[in-house]
Amino acid sequence: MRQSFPMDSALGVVFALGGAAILQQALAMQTLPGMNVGPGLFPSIVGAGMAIMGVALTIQGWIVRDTPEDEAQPLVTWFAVGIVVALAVTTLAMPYLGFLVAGTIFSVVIVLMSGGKWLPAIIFSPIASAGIYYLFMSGFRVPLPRGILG
Amino acid sequence: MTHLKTLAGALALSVLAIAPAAAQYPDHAINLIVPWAAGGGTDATGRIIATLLEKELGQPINVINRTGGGGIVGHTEISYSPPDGYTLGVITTELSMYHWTGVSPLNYENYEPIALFNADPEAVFVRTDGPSIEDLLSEIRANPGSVKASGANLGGMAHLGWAGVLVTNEIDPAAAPWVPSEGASASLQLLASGAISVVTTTMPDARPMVDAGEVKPLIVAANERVAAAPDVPTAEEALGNKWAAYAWRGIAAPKGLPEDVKARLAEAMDKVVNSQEFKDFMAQRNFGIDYRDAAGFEAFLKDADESIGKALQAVGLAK
Amino acid sequence: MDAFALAVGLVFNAETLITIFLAAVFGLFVGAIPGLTATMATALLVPITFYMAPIPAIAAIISCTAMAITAGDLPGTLLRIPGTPASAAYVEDSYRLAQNGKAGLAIGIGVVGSVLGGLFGFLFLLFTAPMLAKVALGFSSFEYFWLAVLGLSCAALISSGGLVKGALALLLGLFIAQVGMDPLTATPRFTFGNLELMGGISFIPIMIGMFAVSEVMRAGRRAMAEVPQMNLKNPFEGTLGALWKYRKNQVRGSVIGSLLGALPGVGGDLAAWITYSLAKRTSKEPEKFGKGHPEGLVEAGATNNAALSASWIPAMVFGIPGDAVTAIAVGVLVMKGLDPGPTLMTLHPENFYAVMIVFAIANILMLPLGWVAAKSARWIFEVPRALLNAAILLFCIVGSYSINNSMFGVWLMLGAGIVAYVLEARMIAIAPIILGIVLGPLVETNFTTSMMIADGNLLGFFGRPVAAVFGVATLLIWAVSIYRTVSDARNARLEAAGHA
Repeated sequence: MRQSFPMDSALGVVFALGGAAILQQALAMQTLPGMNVGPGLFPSIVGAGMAIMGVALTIQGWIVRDTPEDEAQPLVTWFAVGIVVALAVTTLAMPYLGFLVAGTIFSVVIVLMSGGKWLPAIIFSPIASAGIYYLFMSGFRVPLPRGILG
Repeated sequence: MTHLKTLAGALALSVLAIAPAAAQYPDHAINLIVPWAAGGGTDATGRIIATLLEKELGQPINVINRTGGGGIVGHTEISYSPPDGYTLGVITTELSMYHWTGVSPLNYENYEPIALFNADPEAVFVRTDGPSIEDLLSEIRANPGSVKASGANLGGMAHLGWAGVLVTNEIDPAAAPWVPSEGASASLQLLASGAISVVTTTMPDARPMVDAGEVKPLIVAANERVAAAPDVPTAEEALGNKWAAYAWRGIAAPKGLPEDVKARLAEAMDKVVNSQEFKDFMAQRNFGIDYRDAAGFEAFLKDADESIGKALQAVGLAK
Repeated sequence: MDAFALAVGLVFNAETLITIFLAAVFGLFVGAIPGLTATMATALLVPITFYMAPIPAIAAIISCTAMAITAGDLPGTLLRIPGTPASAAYVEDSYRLAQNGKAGLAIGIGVVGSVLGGLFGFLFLLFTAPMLAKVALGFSSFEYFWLAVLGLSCAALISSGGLVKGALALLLGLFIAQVGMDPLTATPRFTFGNLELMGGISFIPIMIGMFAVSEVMRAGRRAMAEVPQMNLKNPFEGTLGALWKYRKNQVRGSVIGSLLGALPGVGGDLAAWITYSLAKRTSKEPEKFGKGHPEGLVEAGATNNAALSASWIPAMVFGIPGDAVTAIAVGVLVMKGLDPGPTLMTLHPENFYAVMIVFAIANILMLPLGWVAAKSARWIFEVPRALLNAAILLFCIVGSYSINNSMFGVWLMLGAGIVAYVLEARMIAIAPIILGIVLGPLVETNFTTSMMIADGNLLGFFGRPVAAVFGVATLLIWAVSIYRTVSDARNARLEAAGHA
């Protein structure tokens, strides 16, 4: 498959730029009095390494760009995006709604998205959320957000 | 969906409205924030306090390790928590240092001190076949830079303890450079493996290695000899210059705690610290008990803040 | 041998044995839940041990930890959520095996291999503990630095995508480990003034996000393995055959695990990675690794538990705990008047042997408990995929939350899931990222400490004999790998040109 710009090279450019940014930040860190090495030394090494390897990946991706590869499934699927959005919304809402409510709604959404039916979703979700909630709250003393049911 | 949200909102408001009708403190579980990792000395003492305090107050106490940033994350979280008595914390020596070194504006005024329960002096250790304290200091004077010391992070209590020994004996702290490490056990390992020459840390932290015959204490930076090692001289006895550096731990709440809650907690802590179980635990682990009530702890913190500020300035770490 | 007889009496009584059993069940339970760690299980046990006699107290902690760590392989195998950094080394193989309908075999190899490795570690300890501890004590920051770099190099160089992609994954992990406050000077790095970031990024939400969330994103719509799941009468079927076939790996994994485990702080996490890569390097069919091949699983699984037993050596003999679990255990030992340290061996050898026997019992207990767990594991495959997705993600949320009891962990998990989803699509392995996060602080502190000791002279890193050997070995591995990558690329190019 011929691409105008290979994916690996694109990723390599991202890594190279990221490495350069890390390097730039790390070099700005100050050495503390009485130390010949500062907190910026190790990050500089990592940043430089990442920049070099990023360039290497860009070149490598370019060299092998004509090699055919097993076509993977498309990267951006509505399902993957849906999972991310559902997780993000749940994370935002949980401190206000509490784990029980937010977790139940989230669970219903995920079951439906994954091709489940309404009935199992409605039965399963509250039970799963409550089970996990009480297991962690009383069993492991993890203070999950109580929210509106607190 | 929107209906559900409106309903939920209304429900939340009504719950909020009822909430302030508080019953007798405490009526539900209390969180105790420990700013250091599970397994360390602060965690161990925090957990025993939690267990005993649970009995006194009749409500469960959850120990939460909020680690990171040399204790800053946990300390900050304690100071930010609502001052309702349901979030307490163990505060430690490092609190007196943050604002001096400029890493965080936190200081003792952000807290409501409840009780100090532990203080241990820093002691100086060398390998069992190592030199005496006098020989060690003359070596540093003769060959600056040849002796390397460690104990914990840069600018921590262990570092100050060592710098103080040097400064009180008129040696430039740079003549025996500090090698920062993750903590006492890492430093003791460096000492035992022969990579460095000196470690400063507290007696309980070094106990196993002393018993193993790998390292020995030379002096303890304390006002008087410690019960855990009665034959180790104080800095003043050995060198003629007074120098004391204590690492401490205490219980505190966020600033603005209601007076009645504070009184209840102080009373409970008084019983806990004076209980036989607590004394046995501390003695077994070689921790020194230094109990001060709320007022005493506040005065102690004020003192510590000043003296540590001076010491940090002497080492050149204060901003 | 009087001491040994005394020790047998200390252990073989109703109180101790019941404690061991209950603690093992508890450990199995905690370890099998994604996001909960052996450290957490141990910390929860401590208040209970206050009310126990010394030997049952320490027995409870040992059997709970051993079981929790082994059980940590279960969510890895079934759901691709590794329980410990060590099990992340071989999670690809065990998960693929399960997806191919061989979950029983994967769990069986994990459990039986662990038991054998653990028992080997026990025997090894019994004879060499004091000597091994002495050697471990001679290791300074220089040796630790090289050892950690060696482990990291192994993880990067064996990963499936090749050298460049492996190295990038590793560097990304090392970078993530640097976010937060520098462990030695408390300087904030890459935190942008954010208080949560100042606390650093824990590997657990990252691990959950990278392995589990990305897997749901990718495969959540796909039906579960259509293959009939495992033999119901004997879930461990084929285990012994696999172990016998790879007996060399079993023995080598146990030996290396026992040796590396004795190094405080490094052993447990690192050993399994080193032996997994060793297995791949010496294998006749390295191309099968990471795709559901039992060979690496056998070796790394054995290593894991051998290292776990051995990690108690420095704690018992010198009172130097290597990780949070042994640190808590040392605390309990001291509280019960069993001061760890050489006096434990001379004054109270019966206590030392009693601890050793508890190890053996805890390891043997894994067989029946692991069998039951494997047998019930098939339930996972009977849950409809839609419900399973929801349950996995709920556990992911709670597990990430419970690390610091804050929603921040959940955000980290989500971000890590997205990153891993993209990287894996381009054949960049996730495992080196996790190891980079776990070992990053160790590499850095030992590097900085060594630089301070050597006054900034890099030759100082080769100044001590053991450090020099590790250092040269590491550099050689890299040199060979880079040479191979470059010459492979050139050959491929020439071949392509020839065809054209």
